Amino acid sequence: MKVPIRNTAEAYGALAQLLHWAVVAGIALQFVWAWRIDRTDSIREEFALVNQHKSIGITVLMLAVLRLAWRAFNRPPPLPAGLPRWEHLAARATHWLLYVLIFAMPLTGWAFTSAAGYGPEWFGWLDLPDLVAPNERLEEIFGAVHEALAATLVTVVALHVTAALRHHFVLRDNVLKRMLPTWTTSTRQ
Amino acid sequence: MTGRAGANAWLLPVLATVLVLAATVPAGAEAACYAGGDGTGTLEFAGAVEGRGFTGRFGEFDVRYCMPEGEPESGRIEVTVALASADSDNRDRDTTLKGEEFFDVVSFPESTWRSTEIVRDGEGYRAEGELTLKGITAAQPIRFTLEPDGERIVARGAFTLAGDAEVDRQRFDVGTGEFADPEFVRNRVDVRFKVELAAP
Repeated sequence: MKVPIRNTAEAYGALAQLLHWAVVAGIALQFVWAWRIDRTDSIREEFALVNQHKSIGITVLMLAVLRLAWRAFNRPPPLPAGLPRWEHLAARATHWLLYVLIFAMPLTGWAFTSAAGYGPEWFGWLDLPDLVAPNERLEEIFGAVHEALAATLVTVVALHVTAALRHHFVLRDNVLKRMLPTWTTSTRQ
Repeated sequence: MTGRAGANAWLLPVLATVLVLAATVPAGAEAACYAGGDGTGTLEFAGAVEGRGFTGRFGEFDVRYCMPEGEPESGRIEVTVALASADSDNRDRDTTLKGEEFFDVVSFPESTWRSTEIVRDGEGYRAEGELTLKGITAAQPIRFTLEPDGERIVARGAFTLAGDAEVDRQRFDVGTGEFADPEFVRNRVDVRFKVELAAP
């Protein structure tokens, strides 16, 4: 099987897929960690989990920067011909909203932790600068925005997944498959 | 003439009394107390959690340094700190610091340090003393410098006391329960101070 690094006319290339699924994994971990942070009774464990949450978040932010940069030089494959105009628009809007959220989640988290007086960090190897000075009012605002955006992200991801499954099982096109590492089969469709 | 001689005889014991009083309290050895606190300086603490350092400061503290004029080594220093004034720019940490597992400010609102001995140490001084924190009193040395020093303090009527101390938090039960593990919360807390003390 020949693995295309760049996107083809029918499917996303290996790098775009890798970045997409790495971001998916990162976001999934972030929700699991947020849930564990809420549940723990140990301040020590909470401290460790929050630091890991920040590190994963910064990783997702770096991946998101790479994704957008790669996307600029490597246009996504076009949607199947014959889709209604509103579906095109809905897909575009959803994708861009996801990009905005993928950036906004780590950035508001970073501002939240800065305002709370904790330095952001990346797996203990890299100390990142504070986005804002410690301030309790800003801490509350960024905390609330971070949580509201998380709820928004869940909603938009649900829409994105539903649409992908609809394409695969209802419309029976290759929209879902083009983001799966099945280039030999998908390119023959 | 007899009247004048009688007046002199009455004055003599008064004069003698004044002279004796002056001799017993020589002006140079009079103890002066210099005072300062949060309005004239800073008192900072630095610790570490999971290897990451943080610093904070006490917003309310008083320092008194009483010494025979120009003789810091013969003096006594007393420091009082309002523990609830601890501020490390982090609400979670500050709430925890004031809670039962750390300072327990409800039961022990103040910490005091009193010197027991002050000796020259190079350019500065080393003071042995007793720190009372969370109801526990233990020996706690500090290092400090005075600017200006010695007799020049008398001339100016004020001086800057600056220095540091290393406090072992565990000796004072600061950080109990899961915070007792030094791998989580470092035992050593560095205290730094710089405060201007002035004669009243």
